[in-house]
Amino acid sequence: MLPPGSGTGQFSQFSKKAIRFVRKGCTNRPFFHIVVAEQRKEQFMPVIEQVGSYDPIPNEYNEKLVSLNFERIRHWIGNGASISQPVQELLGLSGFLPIHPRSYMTAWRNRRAEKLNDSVETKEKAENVDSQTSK
Amino acid sequence: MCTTVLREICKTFPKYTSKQFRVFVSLRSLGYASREYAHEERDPAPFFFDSNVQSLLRTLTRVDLNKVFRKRKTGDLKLEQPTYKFLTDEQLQDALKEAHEKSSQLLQIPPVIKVRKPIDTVISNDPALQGLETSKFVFTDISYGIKYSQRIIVVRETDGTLRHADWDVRERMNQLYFPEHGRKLKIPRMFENTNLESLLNRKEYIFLLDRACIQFEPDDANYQRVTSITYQHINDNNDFEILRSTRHFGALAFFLTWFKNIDNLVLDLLETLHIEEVNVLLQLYEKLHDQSFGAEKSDEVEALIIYINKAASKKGPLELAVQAYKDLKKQRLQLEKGIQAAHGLT
Amino acid sequence: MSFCLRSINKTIQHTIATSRWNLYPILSQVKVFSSPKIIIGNSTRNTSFFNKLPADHLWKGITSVSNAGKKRGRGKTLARKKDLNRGQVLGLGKANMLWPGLSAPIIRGKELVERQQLPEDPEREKKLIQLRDKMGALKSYKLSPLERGWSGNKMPGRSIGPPDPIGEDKFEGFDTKVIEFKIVFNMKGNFGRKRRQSTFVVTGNKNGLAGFATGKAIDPKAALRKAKNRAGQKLMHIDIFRGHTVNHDFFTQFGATKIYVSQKPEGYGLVCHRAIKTVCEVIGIKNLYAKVEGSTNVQHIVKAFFLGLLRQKTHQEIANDKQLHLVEFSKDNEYYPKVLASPTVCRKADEIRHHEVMDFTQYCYDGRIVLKRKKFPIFYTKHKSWEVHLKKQEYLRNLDKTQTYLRAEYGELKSFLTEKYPECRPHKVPPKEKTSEEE
Repeated sequence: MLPPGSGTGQFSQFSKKAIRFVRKGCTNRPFFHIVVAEQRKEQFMPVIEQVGSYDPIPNEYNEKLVSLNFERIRHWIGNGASISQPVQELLGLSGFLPIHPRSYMTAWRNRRAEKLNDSVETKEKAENVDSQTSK
Repeated sequence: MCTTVLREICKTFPKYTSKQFRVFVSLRSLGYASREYAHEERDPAPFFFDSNVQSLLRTLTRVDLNKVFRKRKTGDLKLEQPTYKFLTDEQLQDALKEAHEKSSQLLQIPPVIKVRKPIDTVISNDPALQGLETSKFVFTDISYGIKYSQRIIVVRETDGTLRHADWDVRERMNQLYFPEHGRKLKIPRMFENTNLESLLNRKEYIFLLDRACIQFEPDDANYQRVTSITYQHINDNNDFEILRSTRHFGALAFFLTWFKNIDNLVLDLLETLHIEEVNVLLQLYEKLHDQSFGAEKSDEVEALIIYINKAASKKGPLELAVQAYKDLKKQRLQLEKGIQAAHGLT
Repeated sequence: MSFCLRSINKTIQHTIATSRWNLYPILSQVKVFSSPKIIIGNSTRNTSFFNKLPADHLWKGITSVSNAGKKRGRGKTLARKKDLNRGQVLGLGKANMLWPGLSAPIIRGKELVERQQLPEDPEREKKLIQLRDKMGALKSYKLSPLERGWSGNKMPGRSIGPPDPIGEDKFEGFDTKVIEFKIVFNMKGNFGRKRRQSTFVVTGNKNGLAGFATGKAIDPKAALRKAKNRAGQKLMHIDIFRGHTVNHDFFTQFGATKIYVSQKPEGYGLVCHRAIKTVCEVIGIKNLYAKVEGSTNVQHIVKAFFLGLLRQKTHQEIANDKQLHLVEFSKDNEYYPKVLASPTVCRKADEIRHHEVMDFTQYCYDGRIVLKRKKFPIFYTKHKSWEVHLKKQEYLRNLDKTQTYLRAEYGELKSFLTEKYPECRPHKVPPKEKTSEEE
């Protein structure tokens, strides 16, 4: 019942193509196919071709698995397909494209949030210690 | 008869008890250590892939087509009815020839190579990516028609380092995206030492080695651990006959010769009166260790005697075995003469 | 009227009571000093529906149906009459009393036996009830699965042991199975319709020796014995290929019964008409497929099958007939050409005529072709609902494999995430609590 990876969607030669995610999996368990589809088509419509997969839930070894068919991705980019931002980020992390600015931003924000968290925690601790000593 | 003579000898000279008659195999904690073709040491590959060595190994395998094409359990759920054909003489000969060619394919010895080096190539390092993720990313190139060994598999660490994946991750990813029939994602429990021990005690050598061939790459340390332990167990228990006419005998002979441990095999061959195979084994020894016993020219025990004096570790039992072999030869010669005299041929 | 009856009853009770009183002095004269028990009659009204009618009438109430009902076949599962006297002995009763002269001898040795109260036997009542319970129930004729035949407790398919030994010669390792068991009638001049039992059995030693025969007698047992012994006298030898199947595929016919038999690999089993299956079991054939066409008269099937088995050629005969090597290619041994038989002189390729049958199966069927019906996809696979069903079931496609894997890996249904999310566990049905009755 699963459609073949080669894709079953009909498409016109000159339409705008996009490399993007399609959410598979089920409730509470996301899994993404990286596909080439016509830009105007909806997410769950038959795709032109599947070019990879992305499992956002870390496995036993704390790895997020991404598979990418670089040969086909190159082909579609050469044919003028646009790449959605999440896919661009993945391709950036893989070393195929330069790292997406958004990745840097997220990383920086995460670091900042962590720092803030840490400082708050240390402050609280210090306060706790102070209150205990004053008593 | 020869066997009984040897046994008697070993009983009377307890100093020379070879393991073949008194098997001390206390495998409580698997009494064998793994002996790998370690990557710092001499590389066995150029020796192994040499065509002369290959032909010597094949001779030692002693091809018996009935055993090569033995009835195997195919594991098919649907039983297949054999087909029957009417063949002329030529057609039958062709079919047999084809089967013979197929036998060389079935008997292809699993490659003997060094253990691989770990991969630690860093492609790039980007500290600005720290904090992006709490888990690693593994990227696998699934482009069509790429070999397992050449597939690009990279890991983006949490600290922003991009590096090539190490062997265990590579194998896991290859098996995940391009599963090979019979190979498991995790190493099966049977290769753990305790379970391995019970398999060895039950003499399931062929099963063990076949499964190891499927599960591991030949340059995997685990493969070499499992096979080397199995080979040592076979050598100590003199179960060479089990592996004959299978693809693993060549690898076993190569292993024993490489680590200079052929005495049990030589004794076994002498017992079964395969002196020409002893010479073949000694030729192999010469090739691997750059020594010479004149094994190529000798068709009797001359080369063996030189080997015993120069390189053997179990000199006593070997000398006695040679003596027993000589006696037996003499007796046979006399018997033949007697028979000829009885027939009035002399 | 009722008053009258009551008064009569009362007088009877009275007389019984007084007579018991009167009995005491007589009994006391027989030297009863050990336990002078006084039997006291109670004065309840012992009249009811049950002691007014004779037993037969009472039984009739629950064991019979009306004539009209009988005609319609009613009352087959009604209770049967029980003999309540069974298991009871005169003189032995609820009160375990020893009565000299009734339940014990009067003089034992030189001593006079005394009336004695023995300890009560609590088992007695239970045993009686058990006996009575057994009596009423219908006897079940259910056979154990091992000795069952083709169907229920009918004879066909059942095993009746080896033929009787003749003098010193015993039929060791033989077993006989009934194929047909029927009643036949014959018209006699003076008797009219004469009814006999006819049986058709096959006997064999499960190693290639077998025979079949019919036997007729008025008594079914005699008929079976006759047939069995006759079959033992008509043994035939049958080749079994590698101890498990027929030599080759073959076609065979007897009357209007046609059978296509084909050789099968080990582990296939007997896939054929039940009569053929029984015959095979007796002969010792373990794997075979047979298709019966035309009449399915069992006697004809057996006869046709035996004929076919006997007409089988050995592989050497086939090779000689063809003047070609007969070679087997099997998947088990990687299609290694195994020569089954070689002719004395082998023909060359150009000596083979162009219209000759070269296919082994075709050769064995003598040019016949088994009609095989085309298999159509099941009707519902065309429905839209089937597609929907498949879509809905898709998420289950590897469930069992994953569960097996997890069980092998962790010993139960859990994964590496279970520690992090302990609430995500499959629901376990709590073990059933044992009720007091079960214990």
